Parts: sequence; C-alpha cells; structure tokens
Amino acid sequence: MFYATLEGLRRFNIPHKFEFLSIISLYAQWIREGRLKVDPSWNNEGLKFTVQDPCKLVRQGLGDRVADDLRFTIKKVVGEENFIEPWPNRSNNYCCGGGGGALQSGFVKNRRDYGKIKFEQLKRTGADVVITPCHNCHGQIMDICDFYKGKWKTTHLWNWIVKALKR
Amino acid sequence: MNPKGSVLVVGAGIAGVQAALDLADGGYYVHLVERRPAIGGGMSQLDKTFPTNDCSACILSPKLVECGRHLNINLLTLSELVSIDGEPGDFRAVVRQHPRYVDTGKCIACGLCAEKCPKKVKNEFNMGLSERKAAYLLYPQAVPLKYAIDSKNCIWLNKPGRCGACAKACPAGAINFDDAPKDHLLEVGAVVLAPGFSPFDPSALDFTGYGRVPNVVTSMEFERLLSPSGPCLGHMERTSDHKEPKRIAWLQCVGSRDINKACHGYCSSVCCMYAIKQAVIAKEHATGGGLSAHIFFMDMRTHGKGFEGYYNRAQTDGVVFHRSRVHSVIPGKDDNLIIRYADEHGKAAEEEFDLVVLSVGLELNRNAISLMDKLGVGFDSDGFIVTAPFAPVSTNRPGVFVCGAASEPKDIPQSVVEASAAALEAERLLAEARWSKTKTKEFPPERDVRPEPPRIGVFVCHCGINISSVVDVKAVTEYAKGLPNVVFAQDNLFTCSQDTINQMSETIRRERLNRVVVASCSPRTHEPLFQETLREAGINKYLFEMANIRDQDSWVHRDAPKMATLKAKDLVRMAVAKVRGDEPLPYNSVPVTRAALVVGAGVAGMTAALSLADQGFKVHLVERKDRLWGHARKFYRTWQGDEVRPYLEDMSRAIESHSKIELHLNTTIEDASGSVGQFKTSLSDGSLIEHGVAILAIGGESFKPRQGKWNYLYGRNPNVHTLLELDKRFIEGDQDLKGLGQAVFIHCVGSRVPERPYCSRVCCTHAIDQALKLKELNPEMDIFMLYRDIRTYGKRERLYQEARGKGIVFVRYDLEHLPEVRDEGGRLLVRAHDPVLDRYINLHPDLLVLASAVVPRDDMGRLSKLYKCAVGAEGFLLEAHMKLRPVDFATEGVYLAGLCHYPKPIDETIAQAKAAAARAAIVLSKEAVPAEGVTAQVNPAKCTGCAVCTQVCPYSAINIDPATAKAVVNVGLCKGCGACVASCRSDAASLKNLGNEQIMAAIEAATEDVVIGPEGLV
Amino acid sequence: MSDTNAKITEEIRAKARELLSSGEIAAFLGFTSGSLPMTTRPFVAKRPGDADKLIWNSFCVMNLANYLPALLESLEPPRGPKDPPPAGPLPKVGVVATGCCSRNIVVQMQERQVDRSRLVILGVSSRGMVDRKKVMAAAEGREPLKVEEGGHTLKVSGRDYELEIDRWSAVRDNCLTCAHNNPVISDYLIGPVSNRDVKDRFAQIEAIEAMPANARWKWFTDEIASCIRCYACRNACPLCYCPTCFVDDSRPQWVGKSTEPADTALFHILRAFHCAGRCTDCGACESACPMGIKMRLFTRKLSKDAFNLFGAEAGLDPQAQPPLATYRPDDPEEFLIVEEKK
Repeated sequence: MFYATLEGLRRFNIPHKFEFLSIISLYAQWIREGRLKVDPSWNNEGLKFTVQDPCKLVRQGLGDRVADDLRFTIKKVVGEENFIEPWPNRSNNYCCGGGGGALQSGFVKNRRDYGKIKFEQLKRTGADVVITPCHNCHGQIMDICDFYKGKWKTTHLWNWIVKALKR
Repeated sequence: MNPKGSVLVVGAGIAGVQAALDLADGGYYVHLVERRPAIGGGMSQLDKTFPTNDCSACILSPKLVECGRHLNINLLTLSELVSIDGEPGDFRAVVRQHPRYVDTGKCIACGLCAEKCPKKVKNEFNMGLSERKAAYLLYPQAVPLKYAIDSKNCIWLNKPGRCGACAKACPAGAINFDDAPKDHLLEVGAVVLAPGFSPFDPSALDFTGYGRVPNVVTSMEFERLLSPSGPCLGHMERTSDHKEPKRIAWLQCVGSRDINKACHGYCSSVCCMYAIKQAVIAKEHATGGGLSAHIFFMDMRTHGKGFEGYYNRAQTDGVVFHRSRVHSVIPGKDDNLIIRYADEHGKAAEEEFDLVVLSVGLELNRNAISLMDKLGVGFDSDGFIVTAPFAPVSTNRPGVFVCGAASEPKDIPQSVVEASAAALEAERLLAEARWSKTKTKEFPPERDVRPEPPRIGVFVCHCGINISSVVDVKAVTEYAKGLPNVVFAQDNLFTCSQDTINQMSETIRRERLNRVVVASCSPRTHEPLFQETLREAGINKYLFEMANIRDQDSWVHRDAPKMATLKAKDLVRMAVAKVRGDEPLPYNSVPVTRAALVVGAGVAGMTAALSLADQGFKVHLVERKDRLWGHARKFYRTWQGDEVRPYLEDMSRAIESHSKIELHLNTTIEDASGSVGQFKTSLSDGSLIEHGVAILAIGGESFKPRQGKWNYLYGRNPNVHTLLELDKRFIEGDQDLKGLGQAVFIHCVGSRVPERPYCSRVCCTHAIDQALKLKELNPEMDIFMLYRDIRTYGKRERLYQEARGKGIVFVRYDLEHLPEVRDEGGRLLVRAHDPVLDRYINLHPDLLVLASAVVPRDDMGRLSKLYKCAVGAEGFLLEAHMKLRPVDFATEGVYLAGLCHYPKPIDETIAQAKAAAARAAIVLSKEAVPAEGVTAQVNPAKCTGCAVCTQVCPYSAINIDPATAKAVVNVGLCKGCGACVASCRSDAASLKNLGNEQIMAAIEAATEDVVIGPEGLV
Repeated sequence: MSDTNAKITEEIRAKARELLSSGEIAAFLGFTSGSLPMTTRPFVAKRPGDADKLIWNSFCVMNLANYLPALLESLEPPRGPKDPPPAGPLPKVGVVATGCCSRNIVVQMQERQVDRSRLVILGVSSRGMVDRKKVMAAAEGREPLKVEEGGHTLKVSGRDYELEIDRWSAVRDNCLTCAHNNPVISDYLIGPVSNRDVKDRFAQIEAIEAMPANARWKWFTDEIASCIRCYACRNACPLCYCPTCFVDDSRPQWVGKSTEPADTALFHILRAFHCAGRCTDCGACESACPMGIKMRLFTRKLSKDAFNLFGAEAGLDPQAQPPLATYRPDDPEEFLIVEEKK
C-alpha cells in the first residue's frame, strides 16, 4: 500500500499537499532529536542483527536515504557492534522473492527456489535476528528460514525499539 | 595579416608534449602551459604501457627532458590559461602562473624541505594511496625537477610565522613565501588544447563496493600500486593489509557504456587493453608466480595495432576472461571480495578475490571544463570537446586546435598522432612565420685540443639521493682525483641543474680541461645536455664520456652500498681510461632537398600532400592508378553521418589547383636511393625526383573471401556483399534496398583468425552504420548481426545503442560455432548458434553482408625495401615505435600514414596523414639536418674489399669504392651502430672514439684491481 | 689410377700450352713435382714450353685458389695507390681446379678477391688425394725413396723394402667424406667425372661432439699441443688473405705469439671462426702442417653447424650471401633456454 501510493503519486504526477515519509525516517529523526530515547544496553548477550532492505521501500521507494535511516535506527537500538551488514545491500539488495502476490499465489516451490539466494545471503551474515521492515519480506524470510533450516529469528523493527526504550 | 611565429600549447601530458616538440623542432616558439608543478600528465602515472610492455617513465622521460631544455619551448608549470582574445594568427593569451613558493633558479631538489615539513597531505599523484608533505616534488622523475609548496595545506602560508621549517632547512635559500601569482600576456599565432582526461570516479557506483569495502581500487590506483615509484615501491600490495594479492579481478566498463546511474554511454576505448596489460604485468610481478587474473567484460575491445595478438597471448598465459554481467562486489573473509556475476548462459556464479580493480572510463579533465567553456570551443553530448567533420583536430574556434583524450577517449598512440596533427594545423596557419620567433644557439669557437696532453675533469653526481643514498659519492670523487691525467674532480647534487651546468662550463675554461667525464645517470637522459655544455665551454662535444653510476649501480645495488661504491670507482676509472682516447669529431650534416615525395593519392596521401604544400613545400604526389581518392571512393558516409563524396571532391579540387603539388598519376616507383634529406626516386614515367623526405600512404585492400572457410557463398550468390559493395548501392541510391525483408551481417570475416590474427578496427562501426541506414530506408526490415565482439569504440558506441534501440538483433558467435550459409534454390539460409538461447536459429536474409577484413597490399615488401622500411608480422608497414612514434619509421626521413599502417577509419587516416606531414616538416623546414658524429671509418691498409660490411649495414652507409676496391663510409648516412666493425674479419673497420685501443684501455682499467691467484679469480 | 692421372696430366699440359700460345692467358697455375717423393709444388707456367712441367697425381694436396688473387694482381700493370684502375681488360690466368678448389674460387668471387672474367678454369674431378703421413705410417718409420701409383694401389719402396698398400686406405680424411669432388665451375672439364655417394659426412665431427665436455677439452688441447705457431696452415688456406692477420696485430695484441697453450688455443679457435661458413674442407691446412695437427676438424665442425642451422655450404653459388652476414626471422635459436610455463 505504501509503495502503491508513492508510485501512483510519482507516475501520474498527482499534486498533493502532504509529505510522504516512512515511519523509519521519523524513528531516526526522533532518536537524533532525543524525543525517542533508546538504549542498546539491553543487548548484553550480544545478539547479532542484520536487516532486509525491501525493494518497495528502498530501491523502488524512497532510495538509499531511508536505508541509511533504517541502519541508524537499528544501530542505536541494538548496539552498533551488533549490527552486521548484509551484502549486497541498500538499493543493490536482492529481492526476497515473496512480493507480487508470491506468498499468496500458491507456487510455493517456485517461491522458495527464488528465495534460496536470499537465504544464502542472510545465512552468510551469521546473524541471530533478521529485521524486516516489510510484511511481505517478513513472511517470505520467515518461511525460507524454516524451509532451508536457517537459524535466525525473523522480526519487525518496532519490537526491538520497544525493547530498547529507556524506562 | 602578420601571423605570429609562436604557439600556445595548453596541457603537458603526452599529447601536449608531442605537439610542443613537433612545433619547436619545426620552427615555432612554444609556450607550454601545465597546471601541475611538473609535466607528464596521466602517462607519467602509468607503470607499463601496452602493447609493448615498455616502462611508461622510461619512454616518456626523454621527451619530457627534451621539453624542459628545448631552447624554443617556454615551460610554464603551475599555470593556467585564463583567456584568449584575437583571431587566428594573432591571439593574445593570458596565462596565470600560480606561485610555487620555491625559487626554481635556486632549488637543487635536495628534498630537505619535504623531509622537514610537518604537514602531511594525501598524495594525489599516487591517487590518494599515500601521503606527501605540503612541500613536495610531484614525482621522482619530474620535469622540471623542482619542489613546490602546496598553498592550501602549507602551515606558514595559512598562518604566517607558524612554521617555516622548509625555509630553515633549505641549503640554497630557495623558499620564497612571498611568491605571488604572475600573469603572462603571450602573443601567439595559434593555440593547441591538450587538457587530457580525468579517470571516472566510481564512488557513485555502489555495487562496485568502491569506497565501501576494502581492496576495491580503480585502475589508476592499481597503476600506482604496480609502479616502482608508487606507494609500495613496485611490490604489488593490496590496500587493506599490504599482503600481496594472489587472485585479482578486473571489472570492465565502470563508468563507460552505462546509461544507467547517470554515467556515460560512450566507450572509453582503452580499458580493455589496459586491463589485459595490468593482468599480464601483475602476473609477472607476483613473487613465485601463480597469480590468478580474471577479467569480467561484456565485449573485448582490442582493436588497435598489436592488440589482438596481445589479447591472444594473455589468454595463453592464463588470464581468465569472463563474458558476463557483474551484479555486486561484496566483502568476504579476511578483507577478500566476492564477485557475484551472471555468465553468458544466464547462470549465476560467485568467485572470491583478494583484490578487485575497477576499469574506470575517461572523462574530459575535470579541471579543464570551465576553461574550455570560456574559450567557446564547444562540447558534445558526452562532455568532450567537439571537432569538425573530416577535421579531427579542429575545434569550432578557428586557430584553436585540440588533440588527445580531450576530444574523445583514446590511447597514447592515437593521442600522439593527433598531437602531431594539431601541430601541423598550427604550422599550416603560421607557415609564413616559421623561424621568426625561435632562438638559435650560438657557440664559441672550439679550441683545438689535439696538441695538448689530456687534462681530464670528472664530475660525480649525487642525483639528489638517487645515487648518494647508496654510493659514497665523496669517496668516488676523491678517488677520481688520483686517476692518471685527472686534473679536476668535483661532486654535485644535480649535475643536470642549470647552476651546475654553468659552473661546469666555467670550470672547463678555467682548468683548461680537454676531456670530461660525468658519473651520473644514463646517457639517454642527459648526454646531449652535457655535450652542449662542452660546446658552450669552447671544446668539441665528443670529448666526453658518461659513467652510469645510477641506473647501473645505485639503483640496482641498494642492498650493497660498499660494493656499489667500489663499482662506481671501477666505472669512473673505466670512463677516464676511455675518454683519454677520445678525439674531437666533426659535426656532420646532410643538406636537405626541400621537396617531399608522397606515395599514394588516397585520403592519406592527399591530406599529407596538401598539408605540406600549404606550408609552401614542393610536393610530388605519385599515384599508380589514373585517378585520386583511393579506397575512399567506395565509401558512403562516415560514422558521424557525413557523406564522403563531397569531401573527396573538395580535396581533388585543392590538389589539382595547387601550385606546389606536382601530380603523377598512372605512375609507380621504380627505384629509390639515398637517405634523409637526400633521396632520389625514379618513377615509371622516366623522371627522377630528388626529395628530402618521403611519406608512404600506399593504402590497403579489402579482403574478398572468394574461397575457403570465410566464403559464406560470396561470389556464388548475388545477394552476398562485402561492406563496400553495399556502400556502392547506398551511393547509387539503389531503391531495391527498400524492399528487403531481412538482412544479415556477419562480422569478423577473415579477421581475428589464425591466418590473420588482427582486428580490422573499422568493420563493427561500418556494419552497424549500414544496418541503421537500412533501417532508415525500411524501418520494418529485420536485421540480424552475427558478431564476435562489438568494437564500436569511443563515441561510436552511440551507434550500437541506437541499433539495439531500433530492434536490430545481435547474435554472438565464436570460432567453434561459425555461421553456416547455404543456398536453397537461390534463397539464402543462414544458420547460427545463439549462445543465450543455446539453440540454432535459421535466418532467411534477402541480403547477406560480410564485414570482411582490411588487408595489407601484396607489394608492401617491394616498396618498403626501396626506402629501407620495415614490414610487421601482419604485413602492414612497421613504425619506429608502436607507442610513441606511430608515424615515423626507424629509417629517418620516411613516414607513413593511413591503411598501410593499420586499418583505420577516415578521420584517423586524416589525423595520421597530418601527423606524418608535421614530422616531415621538421626535416623540410631546415637547410640541413645534423648527422651522426660518431661514425665508422675504414683503414684501407687493412681492408680486403670482401664486402661483408656492406651486407650487414642497415643504413647502406658503407660501400665498396670501385676505384680502390676498398670499403668507404658515407658519414651522412652512418649512424655509428658498429655492425660493420663487428663483421670485419680484417680489423679494418672501427668506430670513431670507440676504437680497439680505447675499449681495451677501458677493459684493462676495469680489471686493474683484480687479482688472479692459483685457483683463479680472487 | 696411374693411367687416369697420366692422361689428365697430358690433357692439362696440352690445354695449358694451347692457352698460353694463343695468348688467351698470361699464366697458368697448376702443380709440378716436388723434390721429395709424394710431394708436389704449386707452379706457374708463363711460357708455352713451361706447360711440360705440369703434372697431375694423387699428391696434389695444396689449394691453388690460395695463390690466385696474388697471381692476378702481379699480372696487372703497376700503379700507385691513388691512381685509377686501368682501363681495358686485364690479363687472364688459367688454373686447374678440383671440387674443393673450385668452391674456394667461388668464395673468392663472392668476397671480391678474384674477377671471374679473368679466369680460365680447367676442372678436374678429384678421386681423392693421398695423405703422405698415412703412407709414412704404413711404412712404419722407414723412409720411402720412391712411390709409384698403380691402379688402386701405391707401391712404396725404400732402402731394403718394398710395400704395396691400398690407395684408398691412405686417402686424406677430408677426401673420404667429400660430397663435392666435381668442380662447381669450370670452363673446360678434364678427365672422367665421378659422383660420390657419401653417407654420414660429418661422422668424424659427431664422434667428437658425443664426447663429454672434459674429454672433448682434453682431445682439443692434446691435438694442438705440438703446434709450433709456424702458420703454415694459415698460409696454405685460400680464405686467409687479410693484409694484417689478427695473429700478427700488435695494437691491440689480440693473441699472444708464444706457444703457451692458451695462446695457441686462441689462435686456432679464432682462425676457425674466421673461416666459419667459408671453409670448403680442402685439407690444405692439414696437409701443410709439419706437426700433423688435424686442425681441419675445427673448421669442419663450424661447416657442419652452418649447414645444419642455416642450410649454407661454402662456395656452391656465386650469388649466395654469406651465412654470417644474413639474417632471417626463422633462423634457429637453439641457444635460447626456454622454460615451459606451468
């Protein structure tokens, strides 16, 4: 829905009086301003995190800038040393393979075949947790982790922000 | 109009330097303006050059040194052109010289300022891979060899009084913080722009990992890593951990052929070759061998002379080539890199490397853009300086010419050609003003030293720290003082510096020296300079010897300073022993017949003839056919879309009406004799032409595959054409072409095959242009092009993009899957293998066009023998040096241009013909050319007239005199090579100043200190 | 053999007499008897009557080409060094030439030492010349006072003995492996022509090449150990005509003049190289040597190399270029050490 709206505004040059942002950029801004107070010290076991740069958010959406905001937020939330960069990343990231209705369409084998590359990529990071700021990516990545017997947990971003909130 | 006899050259890279030298040697005063503190440009940063694998600095330095000391070149470094006003022949240029803060008259380049300077800065010459100080020398072989202070980073210059360590350290008092910018107002007749290129900055291409992951470098950075004067001193090390890489990958087309990511759509022309060169050199560098080199490319573009052979050899040597598309460069373990790519069959693969080199493209020099804009020269859509049709070095501003990479990415040989061509255009404009602004050197009368006993002076050089860091120079000087007949010995920091030269001259007079030994570098660099110093001091220049205690001692024995010092003493002792026997020799010269012979009246011949005739020289233009134009008659249009016929018609008119051109049609060359300045050629019409120079423009042929493997039914089916045969139909406006339903082109017919292992350079562009023309005639026509690599180099890439955009289908084939052509009842069937589909496709063209090879003429050997010129392995005429002398032959006074050199398109032929004319003009502009002084001589008492010497002489300089039946040397032709001396059984031939006695004296001097004990050498 | 030789002798005398009488030649160069058995002397006949002194036998071992250039020059009208060459044709010389000798004449033509138009060549096909040292060896130290040639035998007689030996067993080494016994140029052919089929003509050389380096060096130094530096070999050789031979030079002194092994070795090696590719293996050097040194083996080794490496044989074609003054891109480069790249 996010991407559809954004792309619709762009492609059809629809004039609009509102600003179109991702909440992730707001997280980053609020953390910088000190309005959203987060503390990574909860991560005393050194859980390792990596991230998925969703196609619709980054490459086709708002570009590398939002990917930078995403990383800034994650590092502030889990600790900079606990963040592992996946490669390739940002606009060059591999698609997860679960978009375009793939999760719903029933061609499960095909979807998982496409998802093998994503699995290899995430496995290579050695991360314990994969943060996916996209619902489709979440579904796909969780499924291929299970299917290919990966070891990570697939979550969204907000869970960890909550965990890192300073009380 | 009174044209001014001086020229402004902007930019002192190889193109600017070549243009400056051609102009200065041809009779014009040159102001050579360079932004950096030293000249040499991009070429000075390279390690080795293709295809000869020569060390870049070694082939470049002699030209730079020549520029630096040329009487008629005013070198303005740290300078920028501000403005030009006026008109051709009468320009006023303002050049701003930025302050160096170092007085070049006092600086002895000792390096102490840099040593003491506390401010470290990124070294831009080393592409930021190392650091320099704010007080610095651009690079070790810099010309001029003077330090400079970088005002942006100098502590004093930003906060006066705060530092000044350099001024305190400088032994010559050369630091001048009060230095200020100077504006020079120069009156010149013409301007040559050679601002050069900047390498593309790949930071924006995130998928390459540049700037994001360690050990990803650009090609220019890699050159510095390989270079002995670079940050690792020639030990190939990767940037992150200084370990030697064992697996290196090159990614091609970074910033070229890329219309995505706001890049450049054109091809940068040189990157395929330089990547192969780097791979080959890196393999040589690897200690213990075993370096794995992989090149990831789309098309392999090795379209120049010698390039295809280089590519083939690289493959045999084990360089791996992947025709592929690279997705990303991602980090692996231990700072390694993983490249993920898709091969030609669409399969994804990953490979790990220690180092990734990005073959970045070329852009117009970023520092020059605003200036070029201000000068009003005009840019094209790719950001390069635009040139006129059929005038590849002319800008749209009259009197202002351009050469080198600034107008289009190109390699060094092509840049050198254009530089000479630009010089020619300036000379053509300013022909009346030749020699009007030049200075000539006057020497004092020479004293006759023959009755004097030898008084030898020895000057031992520190060469900064190049020699003195290894050899104990003071000890060698003391030692020299004790040698027999040595009356004076002195050590100098830089013997070649102006003040030392002046001192040497004075010393020679004061001490009445009659022999001089300089113990320093190689004679290749400074022998002419020192010899000139002897003349200035009033003695014959041949009373001189050099002992090379740098290249042959300190540079190669860094780890053994004691032995190196002993060796230096040996070398000095040998030089002293030899110089004792040197005698004054005459300054020979050969008078020049001020006329030129141009052989061949195609585009190259006509251009060369007009170029010389327009300067007032008499030209004999000889053509074997009954008409002008050569093969260009058969061409339809250039790749830029300009029709060739109107241009040819203009040329004919100019030639036929020119008062200085004598045209000999239907005439061939029967015989030729003589050498530079004094040629005599007899023609088939009976006339004998006397001329000072000759330009061979004898053209090439188009290969007609009448039988054999590449026949493809040519000559057996009327619908199979060569490219030229199709052009003929375009010229005639054949309407039948509109009705064609399908056309197929086959590339590389007879080129890049075992019997002809070279690329014909022009055919990809020509074929694609023809395909576009067919599409113009009938947009519905299906066109298929069967190719091996698409070689639309430089801006020609635009044609390829256009062709693909218009739906022309490109199918790649290789030598293992040759297309098959069959005739099925008159209808053509072409069967080709498509590697992407991995299937055979059947095509039914109405027209099959063969892009067949350009081949050398069969009778190349006969003509080349007459003028004693060489023919290369591929059958084309062989130039003196493939990199830096692309229009000269090893034989002086003869030049070449056009297809007889190598296949090339019309614009490059025009440039080469102009270049040949410029080189020829250097001889023709003089009344006499200097000949060699160190020549051979024959002792008639010992000569038996057996004539073996006449058979080995490469210059026909020694002949048997029929009157005496003894051998006699023609000193005008003799180059002093010594082949005759070596061949003579009777010890009758010897070289002046290199006689048996001198050589024996040097050998005995060498072995003086050697003791032979009972067991042999001690 | 004696009959053949006698007939050849008659024909040579007749021809020489005829050429001298008609004035076509001013001198005839051939052989006459020597003062000792088994010896002959080069002889110049200037008057028709002198032709009777000419002989031909199996002991004509000197190479007449050696004397041709000097003979031709001596017949020219005297002139000073700066005078132009005389106009008009110069006097001609007649000469007898076997295969090797005629090849040397060709080499001299290539090297501009003789003018072909001044020569009248009587070609004789050689049946092999006899090595008198081999005959002396067969006589086991007894002095031969008379040697008569039979059909294929030699009758050697001296005080108190008489010996008959097979002629072929005493023929010179170089004649045994001669592949060019017929004259390669001639104006007249005297006597029967035979063709020799020689296999392994370099067998003697190959045997030495097969020796290990130490043995080969020993063979070489032993061979030249008795050299007295008389230069008879050089003087007999038609290739050695330099006004100042390298061995006589003193500025610089390339080779010492003593009989020290190093000096002697250097002399022989340098002379061999000066003859490389030019030597026809006429054997005159060995025949002239008073010490019996087989120095023709050195030049023959170089002839073998010139033949195998460059396909060159001396003196077969007057138009040919000397192998050491020519270069072809496909010249063999066996001296290059090439390592296989792994």
